[in-house]
Amino acid sequence: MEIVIKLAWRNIWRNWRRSLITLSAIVFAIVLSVLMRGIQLGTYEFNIKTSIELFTGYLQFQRAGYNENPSLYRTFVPDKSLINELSQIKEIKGFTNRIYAGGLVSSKSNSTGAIIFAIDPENETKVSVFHKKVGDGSFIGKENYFDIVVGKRMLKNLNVRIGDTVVILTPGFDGSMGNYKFRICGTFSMGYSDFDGMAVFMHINGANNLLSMDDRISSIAISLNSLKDIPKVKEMINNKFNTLGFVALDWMDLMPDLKQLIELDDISGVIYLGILLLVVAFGILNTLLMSVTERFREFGVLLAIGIKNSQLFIILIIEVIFLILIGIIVGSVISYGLNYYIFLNPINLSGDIAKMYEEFGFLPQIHTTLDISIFTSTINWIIILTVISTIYPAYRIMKLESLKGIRYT
Amino acid sequence: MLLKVAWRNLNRNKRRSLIIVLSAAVGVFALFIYDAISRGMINQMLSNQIDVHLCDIQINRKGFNDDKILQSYLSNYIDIENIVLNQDFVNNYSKRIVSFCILNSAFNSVNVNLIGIEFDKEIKLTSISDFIIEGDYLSGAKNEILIGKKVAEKLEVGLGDKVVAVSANLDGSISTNLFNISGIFRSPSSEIDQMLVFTNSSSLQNLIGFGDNYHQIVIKTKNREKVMRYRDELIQRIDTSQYEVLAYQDIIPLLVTMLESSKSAMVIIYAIIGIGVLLGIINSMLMSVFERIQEFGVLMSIGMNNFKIFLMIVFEAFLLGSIGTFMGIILGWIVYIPLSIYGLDLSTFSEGLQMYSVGNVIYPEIDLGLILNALLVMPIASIIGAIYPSIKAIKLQPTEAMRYV
Repeated sequence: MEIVIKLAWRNIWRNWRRSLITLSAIVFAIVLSVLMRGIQLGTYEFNIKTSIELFTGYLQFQRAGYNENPSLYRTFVPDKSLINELSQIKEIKGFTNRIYAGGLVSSKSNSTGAIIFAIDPENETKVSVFHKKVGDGSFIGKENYFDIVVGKRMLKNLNVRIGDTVVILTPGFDGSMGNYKFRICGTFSMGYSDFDGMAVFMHINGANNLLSMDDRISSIAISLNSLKDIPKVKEMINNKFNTLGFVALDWMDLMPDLKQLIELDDISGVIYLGILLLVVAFGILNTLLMSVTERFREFGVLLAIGIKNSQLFIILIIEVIFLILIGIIVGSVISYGLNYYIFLNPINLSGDIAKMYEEFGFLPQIHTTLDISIFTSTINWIIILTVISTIYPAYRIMKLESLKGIRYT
Repeated sequence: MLLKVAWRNLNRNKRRSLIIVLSAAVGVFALFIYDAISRGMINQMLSNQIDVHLCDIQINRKGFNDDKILQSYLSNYIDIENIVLNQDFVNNYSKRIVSFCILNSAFNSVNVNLIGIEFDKEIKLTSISDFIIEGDYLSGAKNEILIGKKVAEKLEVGLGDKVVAVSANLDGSISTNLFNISGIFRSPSSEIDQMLVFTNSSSLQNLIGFGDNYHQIVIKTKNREKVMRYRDELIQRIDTSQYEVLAYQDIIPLLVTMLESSKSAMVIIYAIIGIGVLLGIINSMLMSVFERIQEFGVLMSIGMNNFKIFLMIVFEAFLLGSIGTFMGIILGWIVYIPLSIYGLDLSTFSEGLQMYSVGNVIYPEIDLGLILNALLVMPIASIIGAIYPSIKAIKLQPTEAMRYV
């Protein structure tokens, strides 16, 4: 066996240029796939985390059917036993009540549509980081039930300033039109023009009056310690509350368009890598086939002096193993290095491309991940492709007869 | 002569040549199809937005496109209408009112843009009438309304039901009115389905106390390719201190940027695949050079100069790349033709696609740039790949080469 390994190793070095080029093809493929997958998956993860923490929350607890069709009639009263149950789950970092509604905001000179997000200012800060986005003015105070925070764009469209009052009109729970005065205490700018022109954040107690909710709420937003806990806690809550008509929803339920967008982008990335790997696989096949046919005379002699076809086969396999092993090690080290660099220094995009990202609700930053799975999946594919490319050369070796080999030109 | 020798050399080791040709062919084929699909997708995104609602050119009061304020209506639409009528590039035009309202049913309420349209003219401009899945397009009856499927689901209403629209008036007060749902549409764009509902302009003028006024004039031109030129012609005739004339590129600039940047991204992708093939070419040419060292020795000693040998090896590589490209493009074409006719059904991603306003079926598209990319990459890559092996070959000493084993 030792001699077989030695032979294989020497064979690789006999034509070192060829081995080097094959190696560089493997390394090139690994580095590129790992880098691209890393950037894709890392950017997804970053954006998911950002939108979760910005406002959506890791999970939301709602009445079943509310998410598909949000209506004030699918709201609920959060009773004590429910709150107790939630606070007993140790993965939960915090949770907060919210009411969502639509309405019309009017100033003296103008009116515009509004999406109302009613929050509990005290608990909200434990779940989302929205309060940090308030630029001018201040966030809603604990006791200021009739203060609101609106987008900069809305402020401009309504032709008002911070401190001015506006009237919000909205159909309430009892079917009547709620109609209250609110004071604008702060503004924010998220960069998405629709959101900045439509969103109104108000105190949950104010919304309770405006919408005649009788302490009903739309949703409980829950924050967890880690993204990885989402499926577990979701299942836990669903097991307990599904029979009572409640569900826990994760970001994929709450932002189905983001989910599909990611899936679509993901698929195009996979297709593209598939093409690249295929081209590289042809290169590997070529090298192996050439290195085998080139040595047919040699193999013929070996066969004639009593070495079996199966032993030649093993030599070939070991050569291949050496090649891809070196390729994988070098490729992984280089790609880990590059990925690590981007991981520490996310790339900021600028100009038109940055605007494009924002338009689709993404932050204009390129991130990457060091998740081990992108390495293993790439390496798996390289191995599978190499095995496939070995089949034909191996077949030629197994079929070789000593005399034909010796006379092969 | 050299070409002939190169061709014969390739034929000598058919298997090796075939593998390189195949790798180039697969690369070109896959990229060709991939590029055609993504190009088709982005073009569809653009044309859907324009066809369903935006139109080629919009004329508004200055600043209206940014802020959609109810009060910024066209102060004298008749003058503009006359100007538009006199332009021979105008295929059709129509007037619109854009207002904001809360639609209420017994179950729920949604925020939407209520668009007042001239139903008989609008049908010649936009394709919204093609996407009606229940009921009919507007007929001109009083207080009829056309809503998207998503809005209907949210409000839990159907055809023939009534909804209440609450809207701000021109004078700042609030008014309400009852509308009858005459039709429900599902367009390729989720944004349009969620955000826009349509009624007759006269019904909307009544609701918001708008008098005989309009916010914008939308124009369908005879040739969308020349829309920028048409826009500039209009700008010369219209007072731009009061009005804005916008081509679709001005209204959705990001989509246009996206189309452009996807083209340049594709060039990079071609280059990367080219490098993959290039490594294969270097390898195979290097092998064939080392196999033929003796032969080169003979060639050199009978007087073939270095340049010719260099050229011969480059030709060999070039032939490999070109044949591969040729096969790849033929194959790509064979797949492309039926795909471009029947389309690629991606209904599984309908929600994501609708967000992009693409539509469920994608029709791949190709243009000159794409074909040029596909044609040039592999031959260029193979020539570059041949440089190192041919340098190796011309550095040989004839006498040593002949004795090489």
